[in-house]
Amino acid sequence: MVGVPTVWELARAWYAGRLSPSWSRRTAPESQNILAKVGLTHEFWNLIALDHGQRTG
Amino acid sequence: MSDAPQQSTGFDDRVRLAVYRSFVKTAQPPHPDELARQVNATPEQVRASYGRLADAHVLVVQPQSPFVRMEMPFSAVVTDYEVLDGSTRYHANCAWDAFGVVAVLGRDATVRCRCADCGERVAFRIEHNKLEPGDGLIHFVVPAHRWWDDIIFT
Repeated sequence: MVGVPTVWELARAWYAGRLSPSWSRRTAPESQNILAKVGLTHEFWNLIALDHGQRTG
Repeated sequence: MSDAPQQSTGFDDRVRLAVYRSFVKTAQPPHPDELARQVNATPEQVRASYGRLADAHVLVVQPQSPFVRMEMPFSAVVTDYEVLDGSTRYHANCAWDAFGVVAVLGRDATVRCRCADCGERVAFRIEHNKLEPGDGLIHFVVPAHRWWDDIIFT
């Protein structure tokens, strides 16, 4: 369970810049960092294991 | 038409942006033929670009069709996760994405969804990036490393 304010904070960071022509896909570590910055650090939120550093949404 | 690149990051970026702009303007993705005209390409080139963007987890194509189903956070199909912006009703792929739609729009909007516990409609208003009400919980079911195993389920 995640509080709605955290999800709003996450959504703002995750989807920032999507309408910019210069937006580029993040790496998995970059996405992981966004999750960590809003406090989602439990292994449930671990993107890295299967992505092996590939770019993610 | 013939000079549109077959495999180009620049071309894919133009396709990506055109789909986003259509979602923002109409709450729907463009028809692939219309998009092909917009980006001066053939429908086949647009479909190939969709494939590359899907491989990169930027969008999701409806299975067995040429149509975009998702360009995260937007959904082309009706869901329980709505974002109301004036007279426009957007649909999102999940609760997180509903807030993502507000973030992408960059303006005040209302998120409406259904409480997974009691089934009642709940609404959150975002004005000047401030969320009201500021409480509530969202249940995430799929671990992050499994999100793309079946993104439609996720």
